[in-house]
Amino acid sequence: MIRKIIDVKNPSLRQKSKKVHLIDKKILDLVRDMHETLIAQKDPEGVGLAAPQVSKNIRLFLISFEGEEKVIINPEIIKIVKEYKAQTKKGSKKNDILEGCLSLPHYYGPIKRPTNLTLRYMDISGQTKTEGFKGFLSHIIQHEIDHLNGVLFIDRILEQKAPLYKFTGDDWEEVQL
Amino acid sequence: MKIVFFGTPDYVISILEALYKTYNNGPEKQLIAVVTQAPQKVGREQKLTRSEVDHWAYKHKIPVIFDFDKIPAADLGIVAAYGKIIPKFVILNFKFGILNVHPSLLPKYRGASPVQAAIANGDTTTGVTVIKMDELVDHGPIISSFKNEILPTDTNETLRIRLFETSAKFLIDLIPNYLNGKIKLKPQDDQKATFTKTLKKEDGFVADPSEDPVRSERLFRAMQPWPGIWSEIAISSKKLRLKILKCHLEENKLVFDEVQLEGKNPVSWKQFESAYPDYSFN
Repeated sequence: MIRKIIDVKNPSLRQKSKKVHLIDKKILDLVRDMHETLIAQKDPEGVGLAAPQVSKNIRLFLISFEGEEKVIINPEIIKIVKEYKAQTKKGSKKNDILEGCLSLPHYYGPIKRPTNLTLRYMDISGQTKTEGFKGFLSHIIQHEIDHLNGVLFIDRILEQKAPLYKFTGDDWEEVQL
Repeated sequence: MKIVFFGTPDYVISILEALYKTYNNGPEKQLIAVVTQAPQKVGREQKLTRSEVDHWAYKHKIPVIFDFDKIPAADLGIVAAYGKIIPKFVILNFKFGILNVHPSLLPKYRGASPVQAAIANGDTTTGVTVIKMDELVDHGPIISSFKNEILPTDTNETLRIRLFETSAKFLIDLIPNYLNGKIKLKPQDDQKATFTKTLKKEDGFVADPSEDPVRSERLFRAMQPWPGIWSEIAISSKKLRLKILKCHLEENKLVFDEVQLEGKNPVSWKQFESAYPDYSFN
């Protein structure tokens, strides 16, 4: 069942989410629904969806990127390599990682984030895993973990004084926050 | 070899797990898909609920299929409590056919509630039969079967779990022998066939539970977890339903332990009797 993705103005996106203690039927149902919700997003497509975005304030998110699908529960970043992706020249957005969010569709901004991290998390069968992620995946994970802590990517934009763009279908337009 | 499993409730997961351990532990994943019933509306809120087999398959990253038209071509099908009739074109999709794991000694108790029927009838043994499915319900030729005792304390829940857990291992040993043609199939004796139906709430109705206590207690064990047994009692000339949540036999008498009156919370029998001293069964 496709669930409603709540909008950036919704206060429940600002709450800190609680840990998952037991993967029961309720959690499984939620994960399945979130999976359906995520793959149903076509305009824009999504690469990740956190439980708070479907109004459940629990520490759980899904990623679906280039065929890789993961369910991540109670994530903990245990190592982070503070090596930021080099920003390219101003004005060229080609090599920047532009970040967007399904709770604020069509808006994107270049956010600097560490490109390497090691994550400890529980998978859907309840097993604890430790795994390294880099590149765009590392970016997605940090974005989703922010959601679990009530932080949105626009906060990071403000923090880093980065520009925010609106994608209108064929053009990028800079907007003021 | 490519295997597809058909099943729906939690108590057949032992079979699914055994297949997974045997056929998916190497690089070649032979259990390629699971067919289960589409999410159904359940309970008072009519919430769309996925089957236990569905959740299990998702956890183990095995494709879940609801639609018969979308089943990939495969060699062998295994069915355990799928819950719907499987049409002929699906059976023909499998090179070696479909094996149906049925929890009774066929041709006895064909149909949807074999375990419940065996307990309700007071049988002391039952078993599991593996048949090669044809287009009629539980009708195909027998590949193999085993017997299992019904304990006096067995409820439908405990017995079916035991039967399917035992069949898991039985099936894993059986499949290779079946595939290499070592087993001669035996047609069922249709003359001896008996049939069981899908249970309805009314099947748990007992007019006067103490009239035939042995039979009532058997029915009680057979009807767990659903629909349970219930009766109608009169309290101050008003007819009300009474669910019997727990009971046992004592010197051939049925003793109630826990009951629930229509619209009320579950209470112990003692509490019930003191609250409604003037009750009477119809």
